[in-house]
Amino acid sequence: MDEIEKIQSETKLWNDFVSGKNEAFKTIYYRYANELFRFGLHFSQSEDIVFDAMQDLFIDLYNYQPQLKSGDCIKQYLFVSLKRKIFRLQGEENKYQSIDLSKMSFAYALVSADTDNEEMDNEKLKLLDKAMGELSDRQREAIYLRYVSGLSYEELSEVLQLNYQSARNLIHRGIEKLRKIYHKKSLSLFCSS
Amino acid sequence: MAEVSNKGVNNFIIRDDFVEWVQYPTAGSDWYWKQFQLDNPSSKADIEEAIFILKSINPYEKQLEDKRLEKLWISISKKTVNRNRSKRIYIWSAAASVVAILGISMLFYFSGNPESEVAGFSSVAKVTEDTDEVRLILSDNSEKTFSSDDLEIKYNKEGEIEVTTENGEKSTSIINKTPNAINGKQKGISSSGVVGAKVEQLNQLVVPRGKRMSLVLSDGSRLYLNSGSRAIYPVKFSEKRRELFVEGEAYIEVAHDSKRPFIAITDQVTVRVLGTKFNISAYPEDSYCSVVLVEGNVQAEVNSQQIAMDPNHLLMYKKDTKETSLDKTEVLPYISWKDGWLYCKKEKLRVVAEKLSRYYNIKIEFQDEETPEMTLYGKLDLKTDCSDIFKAISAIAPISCVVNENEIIVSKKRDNN
Repeated sequence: MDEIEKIQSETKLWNDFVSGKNEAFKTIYYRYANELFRFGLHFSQSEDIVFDAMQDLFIDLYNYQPQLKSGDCIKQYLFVSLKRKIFRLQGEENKYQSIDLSKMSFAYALVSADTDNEEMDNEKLKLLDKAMGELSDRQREAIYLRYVSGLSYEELSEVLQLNYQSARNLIHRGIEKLRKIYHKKSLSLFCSS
Repeated sequence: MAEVSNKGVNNFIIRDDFVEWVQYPTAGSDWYWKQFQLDNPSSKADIEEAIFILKSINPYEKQLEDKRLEKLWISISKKTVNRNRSKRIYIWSAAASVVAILGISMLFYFSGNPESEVAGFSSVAKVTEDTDEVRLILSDNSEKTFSSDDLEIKYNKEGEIEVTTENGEKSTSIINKTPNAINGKQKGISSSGVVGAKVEQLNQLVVPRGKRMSLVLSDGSRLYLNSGSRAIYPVKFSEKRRELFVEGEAYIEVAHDSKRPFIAITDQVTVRVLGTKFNISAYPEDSYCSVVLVEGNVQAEVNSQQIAMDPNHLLMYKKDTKETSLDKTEVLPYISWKDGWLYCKKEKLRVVAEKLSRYYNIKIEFQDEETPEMTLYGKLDLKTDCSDIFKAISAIAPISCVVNENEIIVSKKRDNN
């Protein structure tokens, strides 16, 4: 499916749902459940919390259906809502305090992509891991949303509640920083070994 | 090449076309990036590094197991599709907790509430129902009877009654002229109001079995009274509220008046509205009371429990168990009687027979126990004879009927072979 087709089908799905077609609700669930689950795991290591958050999210989505507008973007809506749900469920926060989603910690995991040279890869992974660890939560989240979840910059800017250019900058600076740290470490590794 | 290296970073990761190629390679992009590496040999290390980073932070997708995906969906759909069910359970449990104080509060409301104009009256003026005619009982206890039910009774703003017959031609006659002149003087029906308070004149309309009647009240609200029902209402409503008492079934289109709430009182349920359309069924002989809301919002009080209703809601109160339920419903079957139709949607023949018996004032007898439990779908034309209706039913259901005078005997159809 090319990008335009994908966006069109997402828009149609959302509009169907907003206009009260119940099948659309189920379709939305099955289309996004996996993606939301993976996304949620970055904010909570507990699968149970992510499940609960997803359940709350979809029940809310159904209940608030009359208030939703047809122009809204489905994916951003789901991602932001899930984040908020997880934040609430993690729960020591004051319920009456406004939620600052940008302060949520973003967990990540790196996996070895190549199996040809496992040892070498593992070394590199450790470096990358350290480099990732030095990024801000916000940068990590942006990088994941862009490269793992495949969000466009427009979608990303809505999930992160930033304007388009800021979202772009966040990614670029994040990647730049990542590479610099990665290089520095690999260099020091190279020298010390 | 020049463009990339001029930026001094060789940062392929921020190039969308590069990311696209790593994540979703196509023959075209494969060819392009292979060619690119041949043309720019110095970029090889950067490209490899970029691929490594991208693939590392792009872990093999952790999938939700189908079982868990399914399980989560089931728990979501349980809590969404069946929203009404959980609501009902809530109301039931609430009903259970107020049963203890029910008796006291009802007693108080009907006998002791000094503000209620019609409630106290309902128990006093029991009407004997040995007549076939629609009776209008005026506040001086005089009676006006109508043998035809093709007429409309209308109270104008002054409380005068206009009767319009519709057998071809319209003729209007005014009775109960200038009731204000005798206000407070008459001995007949009057509310047991507080001493010194202005005495309201109450009228009563009694519709026997087999007849229907529609009535326009002094505020412009329209009341349809079904067979075997009566309504008690003031000739003119007070300035604070519009209150009436209903026994049996009524469909009420309430004229909007935000200053004066409209309150329909029955033995079990009280409905409070500003302007709306609803059906209320409260026959003393039935095991239940029901309210169906067509438009607007109402506040129903049953069992001293306040229940807010939205359009298409059906409020059911079972008298024996004192259970209250609130469900979404299709309103048509509940209000179609006012237009001369009876809609049956998965209705037990027993229930249909009860309604028809009331509507036509005819006795319907079942010969066996199975037949009344048959389920019926369809639309019955109440403008035809009751015997025609049973002929129609026996054409679609395995029943046979014998029509006698004032009695229909229904039995199971015997097999033809």
